[in-house]
Amino acid sequence: MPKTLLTLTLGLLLAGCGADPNHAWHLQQPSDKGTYQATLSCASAPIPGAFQECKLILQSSQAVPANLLVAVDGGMPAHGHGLPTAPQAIPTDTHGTYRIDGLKFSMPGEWVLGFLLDNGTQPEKVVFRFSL
Amino acid sequence: MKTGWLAAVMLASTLLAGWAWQTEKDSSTWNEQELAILQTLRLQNLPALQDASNAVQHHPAAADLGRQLFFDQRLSRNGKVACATCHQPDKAFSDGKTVAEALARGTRNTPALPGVAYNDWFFWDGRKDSLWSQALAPLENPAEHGLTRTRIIRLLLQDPHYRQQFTQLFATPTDSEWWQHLPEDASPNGTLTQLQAWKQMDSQQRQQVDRTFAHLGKAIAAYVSSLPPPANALDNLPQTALSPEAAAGARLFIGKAQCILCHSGPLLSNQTFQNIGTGSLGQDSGRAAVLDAILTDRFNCLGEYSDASADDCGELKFLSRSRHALAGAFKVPGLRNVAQTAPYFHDGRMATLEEVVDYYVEASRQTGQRRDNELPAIELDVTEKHQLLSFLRIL
Repeated sequence: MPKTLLTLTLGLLLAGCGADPNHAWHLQQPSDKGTYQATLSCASAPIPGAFQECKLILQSSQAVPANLLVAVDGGMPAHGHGLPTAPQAIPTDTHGTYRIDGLKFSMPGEWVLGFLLDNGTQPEKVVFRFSL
Repeated sequence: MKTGWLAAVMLASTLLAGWAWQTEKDSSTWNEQELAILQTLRLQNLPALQDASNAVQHHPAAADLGRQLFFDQRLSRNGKVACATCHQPDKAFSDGKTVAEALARGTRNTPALPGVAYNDWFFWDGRKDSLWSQALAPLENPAEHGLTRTRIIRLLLQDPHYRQQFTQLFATPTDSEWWQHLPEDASPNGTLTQLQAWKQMDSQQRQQVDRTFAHLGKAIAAYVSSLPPPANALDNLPQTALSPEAAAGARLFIGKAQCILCHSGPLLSNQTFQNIGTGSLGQDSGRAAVLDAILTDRFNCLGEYSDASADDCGELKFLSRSRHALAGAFKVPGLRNVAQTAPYFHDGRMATLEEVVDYYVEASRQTGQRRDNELPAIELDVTEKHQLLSFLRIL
């Protein structure tokens, strides 16, 4: 238990974000093949039990394809379960920015949130790991 | 769940992350972290009760009508079954039985009702997304009230007292006495004969029946929404002192036993579906078995009889549809009043809280191929089990 708690604490610190739910929160992560630099940005630090107001921002040295399909999935590896809802990434008017609708977390602990970025030829993944 | 206590949960989970567990301490006092976590469980953190799909949820006349319907045994095939047959007021609106027994023996334990209106999903498998929609299903269930949809509407509107209330509340048309022309027993959920009778009705007639049926559910939901969640000692912490044993149990609940991972918030439920190993392979897979039914339910949040806008239907719009992930998962029940609502689990298989705690400890030890649940490791000795039970009994 202490080890887990220590991990949780470190997770919060490494995320570079405070736990204050009134402040914006973000994480950055490159995609697995390195094409994209992805930012997961939320209006406030994610909390269990409520729909979250988050977006995915993709940046690339090449242009982000206009037809890029973005799928979302996630879960708690330590508990063996997924997200409580099925969120969707919706393109916004800002090129490369996707609104994440329907995102919820069910409990505190270590979560992963992954995105499949499919341009039709070479899918890439980006996975964020963080603690609530 | 409708949010409001969640910021407090966030604060508490953060505090939990930095919390060094203390096993030797005075049980009558809480440290700052413990108190912050326990206070996330207070009723004061509940948001305002609001089901956008039910426009009369807070209408006093609807609650009054719903109360009459809730206790009316005429709304059953044998004239002896009401909602209150299983949801008995003197038993926290439950029945104390393993599974519900009305016209026949059912398959699920009867849940208590006070505070249930705050839930996101209804029934143990969550196959209904509103309280009013839930209230409709037992009326047509052959093992419960055993009526057909048209018989229900005829029963209601032939009663001048009910007819007057429906007219005033919902502007139900009564001038043509349209209900008198309905088939006696027609239902989209009935026998083949009843289904054929339903199909032979014209679409306008079916729609009128469905609309009145939905109104009936909304009135019952208004009554059930008036049953507040029971208060407990947690609501007044730290002013209310727990016994040393219950206080030790509270520390286990929010710490070592990890109950709070799912039993969180003012209702002590995170409103999700979890596999604790109680599903029956091939017989009852819980949440996984009802996903299509939720989406096609004409009485769901997005249906034509809902009063909600699509924006109010987030739970339905973003429904998790993975049968594999949800196999064997059942709703996390709230724990307020839990000592008064035995037996436990979706099929009432556990007679006592002692059996429940023992089950969690044993099931969490499963490893490898035998593991059929998502429980974290829960290690409790005999003393700790007693402490946890003491806490559960004050909820």
